[in-house]
Amino acid sequence: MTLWTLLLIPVATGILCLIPSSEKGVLRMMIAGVTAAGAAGGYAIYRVLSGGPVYAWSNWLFLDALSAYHLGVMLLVYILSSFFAWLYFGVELEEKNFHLSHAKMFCGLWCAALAAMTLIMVSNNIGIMWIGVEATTLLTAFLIRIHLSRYVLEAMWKYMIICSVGIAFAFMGTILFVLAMPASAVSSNDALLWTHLVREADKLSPALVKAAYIFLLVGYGTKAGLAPMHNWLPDAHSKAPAPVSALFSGFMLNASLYCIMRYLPVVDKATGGSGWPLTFLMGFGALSIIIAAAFILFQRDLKRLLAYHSVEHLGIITLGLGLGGIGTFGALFHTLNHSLCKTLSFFAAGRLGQIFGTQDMHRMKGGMKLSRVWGIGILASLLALIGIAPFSLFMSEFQILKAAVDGGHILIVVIFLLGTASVFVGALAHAIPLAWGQPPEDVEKAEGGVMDYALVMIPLVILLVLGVWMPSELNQVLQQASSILKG
Amino acid sequence: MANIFLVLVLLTNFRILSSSRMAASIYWIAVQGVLLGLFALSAESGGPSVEMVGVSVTAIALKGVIFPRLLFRAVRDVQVRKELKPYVGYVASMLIGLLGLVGAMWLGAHLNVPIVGGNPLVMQVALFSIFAGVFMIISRKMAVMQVVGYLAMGNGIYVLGLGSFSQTSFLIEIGVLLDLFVAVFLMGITIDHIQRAFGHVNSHELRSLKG
Repeated sequence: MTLWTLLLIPVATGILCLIPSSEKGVLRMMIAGVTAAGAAGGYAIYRVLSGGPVYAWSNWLFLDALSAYHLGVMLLVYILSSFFAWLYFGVELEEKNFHLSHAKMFCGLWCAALAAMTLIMVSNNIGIMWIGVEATTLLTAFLIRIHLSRYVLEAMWKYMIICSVGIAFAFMGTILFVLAMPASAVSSNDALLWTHLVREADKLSPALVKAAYIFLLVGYGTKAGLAPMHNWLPDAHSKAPAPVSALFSGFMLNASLYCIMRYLPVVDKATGGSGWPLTFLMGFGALSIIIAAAFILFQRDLKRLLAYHSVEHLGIITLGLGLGGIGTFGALFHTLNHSLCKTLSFFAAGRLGQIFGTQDMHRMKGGMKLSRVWGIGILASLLALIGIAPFSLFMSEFQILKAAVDGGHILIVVIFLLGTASVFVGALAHAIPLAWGQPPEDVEKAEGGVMDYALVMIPLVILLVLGVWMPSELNQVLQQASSILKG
Repeated sequence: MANIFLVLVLLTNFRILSSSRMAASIYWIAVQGVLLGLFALSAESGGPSVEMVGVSVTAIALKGVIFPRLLFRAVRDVQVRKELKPYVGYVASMLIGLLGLVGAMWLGAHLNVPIVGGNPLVMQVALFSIFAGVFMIISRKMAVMQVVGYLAMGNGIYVLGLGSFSQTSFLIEIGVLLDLFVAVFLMGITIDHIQRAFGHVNSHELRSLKG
């Protein structure tokens, strides 16, 4: 019942969001529903941590340490982004640029996307997991177009076509995976269950598993924004409303990467435990870091800059997974760090975009002078994103780098250091004028209220605390999740 | 009988690859959908099970009737109804299609996939349909033609899904079909928006966002 509750709350909220007759009423309903889903999720995570995996629906749904950890990250991003949506659309409401139809469309799709992402997290069936990813794509495509324009349509079309093709590849991989299992070893009911596949991995056909893995990696990797399949990402992230960009970058990419993670122990076991699947992850990770670094240097649009940071950080996470050992632990830790930091950076970019009336960084100067809270938000989040200590991103990146050094992957170490150094220089060159430059004379000051400060300080404090101290509960869940990935 | 339907599916892919007219492409992808529904009925050796009949009827209804109607509806106000200058010309498309077919035949025969009934043609047609679909998406400028390519690719995956039907479940197969329905429905709405905003459905012009 616990897992069903996680799915039913957002679905019910999405429907209820169609009832209120005012924009604020719809937004309040959405926030209440997301918060309730957060509470239900918190209880489910507690059950997993205290008593082991939870199962439902003939084992088709389950929650173990790996999925519970990702669920926790997702709910944190969702709750913060939902409150930010109140703030962000509140400004648009005052400017009469956000109407009841917008509110109903946004909140309905927002809650439905939460249900779809939760389905990915709680699915033990690899077919249902795929349906969750596809549903997420279709629902979020229309979240991009809350405010319709030519650019938004362009971004939306690219997102739909590229991700749909990617997800079709993932489905091809899913089918090949099932075909890799000898017919005698499975009954039709549990053929697609991940727990079954892990148990029976050594009976799978290695050749078919390898073919399936390539399709899955390219397919889910497209949705995760890994280079060179990342082309949709900068457009969609930059043209979506800021709360949607925060969700895209803060968790939606991770949801697809989570799907790849699920296959790792099965593929590794089926191919003889030689680490065959990890080599590909290292390749995609390193390529993502290099490509993102090149584009970050020449960005003018703030949200596009942050989007390329997402390509870089998803690359770092993928690289950590590929390195194994402490790299796996670092990659999972980096997932939380990046999600929190990127959520904050898109919040700040969104509010500063509203204040400046543009996302062009050549005009966005002196953010601190116009809005102290959001100026601090963008500066601190950019500093954290480029890996400055004592933010926790520094710690997780250090763990991944250590895994590369320990494993003797010299080329990877060089690529990692070159890529992150380029990003450091490029992003810092943008961050300084963004925070302290001379603001344009025609832009008015906009100080924030309590909620503005809370939305900046909560992620920042967590990132700072985790940089110097890791709670034993978090360490425990990261260890458990890492051991699941290692099979 | 199943092989006849598979060969016809293969031929419809060539017909779509060679077509410059939107209406003809939508028509032939609908024909392909009906053929796939009929293939589902003939795929099992001892006659179709109740579940397979359900999958077949759903496939014919969605792929043969509803998807084409959605696409025709999306392009009803479009002025230019022919793709005159695709990225890759039609003769070249056919030649590349032939190369793709040879590759699919070779790969299908060598992958050694345990398809139900042991029919290697299932894998070969599936691979060729996926290739033809992806090629359409890459090589065509018109948004509608890209959706037709997406459907052809989806049809290829559907053939493979049917080939492994005894090992997967009815629920997943229907779920995938419904998912495809939502995808095409939303793509249709987006094409309509693009037509209103730009006055055309040429995705080649959707290139303002760069870098």
